[in-house]
Amino acid sequence: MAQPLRALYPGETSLPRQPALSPRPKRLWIAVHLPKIEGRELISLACWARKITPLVSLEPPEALVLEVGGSLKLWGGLDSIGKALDRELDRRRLTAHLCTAPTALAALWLARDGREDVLSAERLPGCLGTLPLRVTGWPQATRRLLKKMGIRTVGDCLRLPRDGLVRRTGQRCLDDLDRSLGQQQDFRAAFCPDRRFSSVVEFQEEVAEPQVIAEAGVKLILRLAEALHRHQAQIESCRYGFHHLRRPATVVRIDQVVPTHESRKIADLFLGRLETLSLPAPVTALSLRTGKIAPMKGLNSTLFPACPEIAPKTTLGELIARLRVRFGAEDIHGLGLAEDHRPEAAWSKVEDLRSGSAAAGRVPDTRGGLSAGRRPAAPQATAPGCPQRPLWLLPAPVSVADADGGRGRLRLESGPERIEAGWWEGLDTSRDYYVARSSRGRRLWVFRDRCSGRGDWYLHGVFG
Amino acid sequence: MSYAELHCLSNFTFLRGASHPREQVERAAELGYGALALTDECSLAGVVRAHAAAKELPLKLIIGSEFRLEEGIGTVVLAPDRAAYGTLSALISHARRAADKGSYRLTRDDFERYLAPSECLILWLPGASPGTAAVLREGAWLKERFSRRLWLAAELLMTGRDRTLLTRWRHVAARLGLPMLASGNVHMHCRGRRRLQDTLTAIRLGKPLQKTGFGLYSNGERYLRPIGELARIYPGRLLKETLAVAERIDFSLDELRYEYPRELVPEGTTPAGHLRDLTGEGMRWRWPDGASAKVRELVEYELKLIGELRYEAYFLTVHDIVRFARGRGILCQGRGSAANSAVCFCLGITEVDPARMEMLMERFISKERNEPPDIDVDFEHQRREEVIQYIYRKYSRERAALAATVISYRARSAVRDVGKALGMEEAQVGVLARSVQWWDGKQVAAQQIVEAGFDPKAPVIRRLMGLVAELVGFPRHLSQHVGGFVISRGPLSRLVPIENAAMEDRTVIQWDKDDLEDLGLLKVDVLGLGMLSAIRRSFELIRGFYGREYTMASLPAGDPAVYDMICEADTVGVFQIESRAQMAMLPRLRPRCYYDLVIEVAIVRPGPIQGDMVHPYLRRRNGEDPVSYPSPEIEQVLERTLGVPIFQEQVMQIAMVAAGFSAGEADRLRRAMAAWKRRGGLEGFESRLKAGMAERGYLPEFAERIFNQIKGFGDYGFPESHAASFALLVYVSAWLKCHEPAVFFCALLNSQPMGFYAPAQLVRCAREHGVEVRPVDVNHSDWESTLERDATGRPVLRLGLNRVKGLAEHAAERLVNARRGNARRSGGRHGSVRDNGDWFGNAQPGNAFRSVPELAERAGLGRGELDVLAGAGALESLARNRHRAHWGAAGVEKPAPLLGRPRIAEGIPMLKAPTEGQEVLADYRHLGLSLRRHPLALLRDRLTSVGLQPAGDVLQFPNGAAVHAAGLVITRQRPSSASGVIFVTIEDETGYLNLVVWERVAERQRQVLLGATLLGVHGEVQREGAVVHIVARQLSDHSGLLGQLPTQSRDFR
Repeated sequence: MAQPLRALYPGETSLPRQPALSPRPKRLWIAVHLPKIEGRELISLACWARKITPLVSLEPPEALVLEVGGSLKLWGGLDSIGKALDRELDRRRLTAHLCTAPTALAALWLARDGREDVLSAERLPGCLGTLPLRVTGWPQATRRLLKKMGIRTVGDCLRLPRDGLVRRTGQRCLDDLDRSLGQQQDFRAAFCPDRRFSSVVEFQEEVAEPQVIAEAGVKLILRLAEALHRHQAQIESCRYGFHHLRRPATVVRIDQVVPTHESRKIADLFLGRLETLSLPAPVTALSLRTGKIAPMKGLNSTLFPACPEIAPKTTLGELIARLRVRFGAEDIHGLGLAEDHRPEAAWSKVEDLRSGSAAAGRVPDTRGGLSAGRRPAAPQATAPGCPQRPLWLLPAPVSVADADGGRGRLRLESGPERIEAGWWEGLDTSRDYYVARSSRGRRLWVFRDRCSGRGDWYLHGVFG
Repeated sequence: MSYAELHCLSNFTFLRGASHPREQVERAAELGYGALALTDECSLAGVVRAHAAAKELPLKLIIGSEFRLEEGIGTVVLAPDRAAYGTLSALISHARRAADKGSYRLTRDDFERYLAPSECLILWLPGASPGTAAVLREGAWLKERFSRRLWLAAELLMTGRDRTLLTRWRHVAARLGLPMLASGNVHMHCRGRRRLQDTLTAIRLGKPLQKTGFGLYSNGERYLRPIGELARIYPGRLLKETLAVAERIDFSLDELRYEYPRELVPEGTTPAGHLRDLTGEGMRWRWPDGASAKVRELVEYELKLIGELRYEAYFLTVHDIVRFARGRGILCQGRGSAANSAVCFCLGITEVDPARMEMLMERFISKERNEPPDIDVDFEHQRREEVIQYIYRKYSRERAALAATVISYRARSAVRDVGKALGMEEAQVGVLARSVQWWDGKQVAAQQIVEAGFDPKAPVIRRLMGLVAELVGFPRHLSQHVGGFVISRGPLSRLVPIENAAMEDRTVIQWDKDDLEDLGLLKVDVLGLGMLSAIRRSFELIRGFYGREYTMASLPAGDPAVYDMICEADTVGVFQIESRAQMAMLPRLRPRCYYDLVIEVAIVRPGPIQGDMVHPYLRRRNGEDPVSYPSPEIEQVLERTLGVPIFQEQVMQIAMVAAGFSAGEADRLRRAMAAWKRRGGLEGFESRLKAGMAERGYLPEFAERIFNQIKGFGDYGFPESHAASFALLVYVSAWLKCHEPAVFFCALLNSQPMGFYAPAQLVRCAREHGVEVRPVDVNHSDWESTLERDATGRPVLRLGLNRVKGLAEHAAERLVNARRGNARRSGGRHGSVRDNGDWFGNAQPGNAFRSVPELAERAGLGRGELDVLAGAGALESLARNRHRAHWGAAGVEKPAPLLGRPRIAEGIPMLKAPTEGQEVLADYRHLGLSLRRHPLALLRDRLTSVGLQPAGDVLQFPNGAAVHAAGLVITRQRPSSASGVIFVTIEDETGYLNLVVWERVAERQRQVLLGATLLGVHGEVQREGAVVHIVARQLSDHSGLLGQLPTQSRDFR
């Protein structure tokens, strides 16, 4: 994903090729084997290790290799590099085994088995020979095959006829063996961390005026936009940190909904959010940190920006983002139909407004009918359009005794429609619904509750 | 005012109907309905049960079925007479056969073709869709074809539109000139089943209830409503019309008569005459020198009885099947009440010589007991399919089909489905369902729920448990019975609907064996039995090796050496008596004659164990207790078992003589016995039995024991008539093991999978019996294990290529053919053994392979196949050891399309030879057994150092001694009769140990118990005579040690 960005840093494309068996420059590799490390931690350590050498190579899932031959002079010898590494590992509370060897693979293999450093190329074959095949990281199938032939160590492998080995296990094993001994060049991809943008504006004193904070925010966003523009990149989200004196910072994350690189769009959302944000204390600094930066994907812009129908997708997304910023994400939802016989449960909130608007009104009919499973079921008496439903449903049923003068004033016009459902949620409803006419001539939707022993009457809706 | 419900579904409309047929019938009678039509959707699977229930009640049961045509018309079809019933049944068969299992397909054309010429009555369900024009077209189509027997069924279910609908339907009916009637679309017998019905719907649609929405019915009105309520909803005229329709129907399932196929009797003879001829022929075959007068007399008596009961055709049917099997060389053996008769011996249905078993003849089918004759025939398990296909061929699929087995909800499956319907998470449901295996029947103990990590008081769990209790026992789908065939004279589909089974080319009828029995229809059981395969193979091997001929009947009877071996419990591989429990019984019972074996087979069963009959019998047999009888009547029944009831027949006889049951009652008791676990229904018998026995002066304890035994028979009813047939197989297999162990174990290995023990134990036992066993070798082995001759001419067992895990049979066949130097593609497994006898010799077959590449080329084997052969050690004659074999196998190239397989000259690398430990592990991995040392022999030093004792020593310990031992787990067993105890057999290089793990220990150390390969045990010796058990106190998992063999392998299996 970070591939296109890498081109921006010409120094870090890939490691320089290592001339085979050349006396100079002498290469030396440290392998750091970290059992059970998490992926994120490994990457973070790799970032740190770039202090020591630009040539850091990841060996996921559990190891790093560093080329330190070029850094010896700078760091004053292998020992101090080792100490620096140890200190950092200590600080991170990581247990690791470090091993130094003239080739990357040798270092890695030795480290995986917890062996001593091997500094001279001459000693390599002997030291590698006793390693179990497990350290090679070859596919399970290959190792199993070799094991079946009684081949258990790297040395056993080295003793096999080369052509015979290639025919049975493929070229990779032989190449690995050669690379580990330095008989073949080892091209390794260099580690290159993800890019994010982060920047901060510090205030001279504690600031409480929103205007000032807003200006600072816009300043940050302009910086960001410039960087994005330079790198032809876009972002999906930003995190703003409002730093306070002697208390933890207030962090606000804003999702763009549609990835963007435009300062105006980013700023709009920031300012919108700022208006509704209440800060617990004055602010000493404002920071901005982006989420992952991705290469820019150009969107077709509209010829007539004022006409939303032409690019409805983008603008609707932006509208949603703006509404969410304004009202809080959880308060914005669409409205859809829900399949339920209970009137009060027959509608639902729809999370995604865009798809919600499309899905609403099209409830697939899966009513139980004559045939099981395979074939479409028979339409039932309650199929769409059949039973009468009032447009206006009361938020909760009201006892008829309290409304419109009680049951006695009601004239039942049609019904009953018996609805029994919802027991699986612990509230079994069993009601007989009627359309009734009140003394004042209004058409009402009332029911008799069969669950209550007395058969109380309730008003549940009013026909328009 | 009365009413007839003409549209009612039971739970045989799977996942729609929410009541048993019996419940529907009983409730309808209670409500005073005039009649009830059971109209399951395209099914008659529930009608026999409804029929049985209705017989006892003042309710007319109508047989019908509901259909929805492909074109969308909904109808209910009712059968007014036998002919119409046949048509209905044929229509259902047609619709079911036209679709996959569990569904049906019926078009207007089919509907018209079948029903137009018939007298079936049709109720039209016009539905509630708003389009009147379409409805009118439907109605007109029906009216045109079924004018005078068509009704419009108005189903008012309080949907709020009842009035509108009624008006519209009236209009439609008037336009078409149709009579209208009321019906209820009943899905359940009472309102209370509404939740269950909703749940079933959710299960059917595969969604949780919360999301099932309009899939559910909007209310629970689809129940059998009281007539008063109906009168409020429907105009009286519509209700009255239902009675008029019911009046027109005059059909009961009692009218069904079963007729045997005609072709079994040649032109010009009667069934009785033909049976007599065949029996006479058989007598001359069995007794070439003439049968004794006693036998002739017996045959005569039996023929007379058969004639009186008109069972000739049944015997002829079974005889025909057995004759076919015999012609094909398929070994078979009949069992069951009628099977152990002299007639059956003459007909070749059984090999149990009546002269040898005087005791059994008197208990041949009796007239009083009114049992239908029951003959189950066991065939070789690997060749039973040939017999089944013969039956289909001979009688055609129209006239022969397998009986169904109704698969019902058990607690575990119910918890799973209901849990999902209630929206519980998959993982939770899994945990809960898995904990159910310890639950007993319908009751789900709160304790278990707590242990599974749930709160029994939580609302969702309470709902779950309530629904589960209702759902358990509901039929779920129809499966095929293991081998119960129904064969009829005319088209079977006019008797009972036939549908597709899950297995290809199989059809099943919609009734199970209880239904068939209720209606007095007869079936023939064609079952598969592994031991018969092994015995047939043994006889063939003996013929090939020695040129001697044996049959089951001609084997020397009563051989004391055989009984000696049995008494020592040296019975690994022997039919039936090889199980742990049987082996423990043998030294105590010490069988010395054929009838002892009959008892031995029957006594180690839930019935006698739960009835507490085992110990009294043993004590009496050993003379520790005196033999006594509560009364002279009982003495007659129990004399042969020393006064202790052991067989199912005896218990029924006791019910008759001691509790005053009539023959019919006793027969009902027998059926209730078989079914009470699933359906209940023994309670009535309990009081009746105890009261009857008390009346006649028997002690309550005796009555209690008899009743417990009856309950025990429910798990696995075991009649003497079956035990007698099994005992013959016990004797034959024991004889073979005793006298021809090489032959016997060779045959057992080739008949796998069967029996109690894995090949490793069989091979070990063979070697203990002095059989030389040679390893699998591409230059010597065939697909199956074979016999070779050693220097002294004795048989030697050569393991076959079929022992190699992961080797396909066709690859092995190519190999064997290439070695023999012919490209013949024939044989298969049977051909290869029967062909000729010349490979019993030791001669190296002409074209032995000399190298791995040569083998690959000549036999056309790829890397994968060579790899498994190398792993199994089968290439050692070519490559010297496993490592080099693997190197060779992995170097084989795929043949190129034009150039063929490239030949590459390469040197052989320096590869270390494998160590013994590596070899043993590889043997186990690829063969499941090893001919080298036992893996624990290699570990013995390490085991001794942690204080583990070898089994051989432990077996010498006195009673009560403390034990610390370990072994490879061979079997884990949890017999249902042993109340939660788990039996584990472990093995080391010195012998076997039998562990008894009580439920408490098992629960505490479940992981270790179920997970360990090398199981350690701290425990105590429990010694009873020669039988030694170890009662486990503490288990431990030493499986890690196996990985520490020099190989560092961890995948030991």
